Amino acid sequence: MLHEIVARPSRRLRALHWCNRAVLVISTIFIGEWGLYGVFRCPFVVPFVSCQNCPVMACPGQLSRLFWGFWGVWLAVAIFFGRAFCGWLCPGALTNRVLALNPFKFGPNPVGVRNYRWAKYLMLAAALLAWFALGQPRVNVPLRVGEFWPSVWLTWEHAFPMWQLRFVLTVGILALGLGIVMCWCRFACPFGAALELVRRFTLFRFYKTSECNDCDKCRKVCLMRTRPDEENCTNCGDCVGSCPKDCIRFGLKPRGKE
Amino acid sequence: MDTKGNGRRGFIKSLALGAAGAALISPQAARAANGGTLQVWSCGGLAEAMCPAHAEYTRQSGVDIVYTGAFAAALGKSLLTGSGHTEVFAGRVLALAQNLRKAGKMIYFKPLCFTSYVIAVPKGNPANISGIEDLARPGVRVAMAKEASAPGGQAVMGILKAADLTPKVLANVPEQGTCVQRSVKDVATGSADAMIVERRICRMERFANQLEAVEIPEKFFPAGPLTFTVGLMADAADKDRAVAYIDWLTSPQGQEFFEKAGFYTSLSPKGQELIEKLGVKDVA
Repeated sequence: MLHEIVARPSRRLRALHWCNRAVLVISTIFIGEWGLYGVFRCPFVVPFVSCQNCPVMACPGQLSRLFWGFWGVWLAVAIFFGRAFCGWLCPGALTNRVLALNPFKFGPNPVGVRNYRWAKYLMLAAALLAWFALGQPRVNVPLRVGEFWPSVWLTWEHAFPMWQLRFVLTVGILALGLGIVMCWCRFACPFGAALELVRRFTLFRFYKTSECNDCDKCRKVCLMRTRPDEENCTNCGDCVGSCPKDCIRFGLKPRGKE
Repeated sequence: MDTKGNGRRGFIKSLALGAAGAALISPQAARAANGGTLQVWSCGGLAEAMCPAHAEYTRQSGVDIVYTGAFAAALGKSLLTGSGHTEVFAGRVLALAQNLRKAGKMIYFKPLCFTSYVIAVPKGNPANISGIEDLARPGVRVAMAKEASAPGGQAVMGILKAADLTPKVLANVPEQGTCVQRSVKDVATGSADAMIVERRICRMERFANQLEAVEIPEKFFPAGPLTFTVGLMADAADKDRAVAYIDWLTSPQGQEFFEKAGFYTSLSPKGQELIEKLGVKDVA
């Protein structure tokens, strides 16, 4: 069915776009609070992955004790749908989309910014190093229970420098999204980098048929500044309908064709 | 999605919507309270007792408790320097309460409860640990979080020093952790044989069915971290409301929650003995 929608841009295509936004909002309602805790209050160097043993009682991540494999599931799903988590479910993606609404942002990429695509892999490597090699140290005074925003100040006030560095980096790169669209998602997200590694082998994807003439109209409408089935494509479907040659498809990519 | 079409108004609208959303998903956002609200800070170690106690107190009194639980020394520092404010503070370590009193930040305090230390072992005690000397036995795998925020690591080192077992036990620690709760998880799962922890850790819901407690003689306990007090802060907006809460927390009904969480209550015979022994008295 999705293949038909993609093949014949129509009202159903617009419905697909709205569906994408709706799913992002709903997902954010369910896991957005966990995201806030991860950025602003998580006491570990790598947030979101040590919830089972975390002393912060108030964090919704405590629920993940019931379900250990949250991130593993999405890595497995990536085999089928690539970075669909980024495009359809991640609260960070919605946040970046909102930041990208800034009318004063750079239209095209600032000169040379694409050269920093490797940065997210560096972030992934740093996260894996801190998690596994350094033993995921605790780097702030965990506010076990407390009102969210006052706790953020107390956390900052008593945090170790490594936590403050992580905080400044995260918030700073997010803020860069006001100028460089989807800055965090494209250049810094370590989980996005992990999914990107799996995406290369994904089964179902948006792709370009051989009629593609490289006009790059799809890249211009894409907030991730990419093209179907290329690095950073999140299978969100925003590009569908932009192609003058109608050559964007979804499904199993035929072998041997661009 | 053509982003060029979005203007300043749309951006501001989005920011407003985002802010509203953040307020909605923010925990404890703007809760209505019939009896008003009361700001309470405590040592994070009391959180397992405080949370259900507050739910019951709110049910009975209609007072909404806005509660923060964290490392007491950090909270105490915020209170002493004036960067933090609360109406009631239940801290660990007697000297902290005394310093707050001397600085004029706290009006009075009462003894609340006392902690104690045990050896946590996996259910069934497979390594047959019967006392602190067994932690020095060759082959016993001891979990420890020496670098955990005080008193987690410091207190355990104090106990080992008092028992004259430090080098032998440290030789049985394969890897030092940074967090008590993460290290005790190794004991719960059986990948370590024993760990010295506060008794309250063995009562935590997540460990209660996985751990057993082996007693440690009280003579080895370091005195500092044993005491918890609860005090009325000078910042309390409604002193009567704060006093009523403190009175309830130190009443038999309030103290039940602390007993259940693994503490000696201040009303218990053991608590009374520790009040005298450790001199937990308010200063004039």
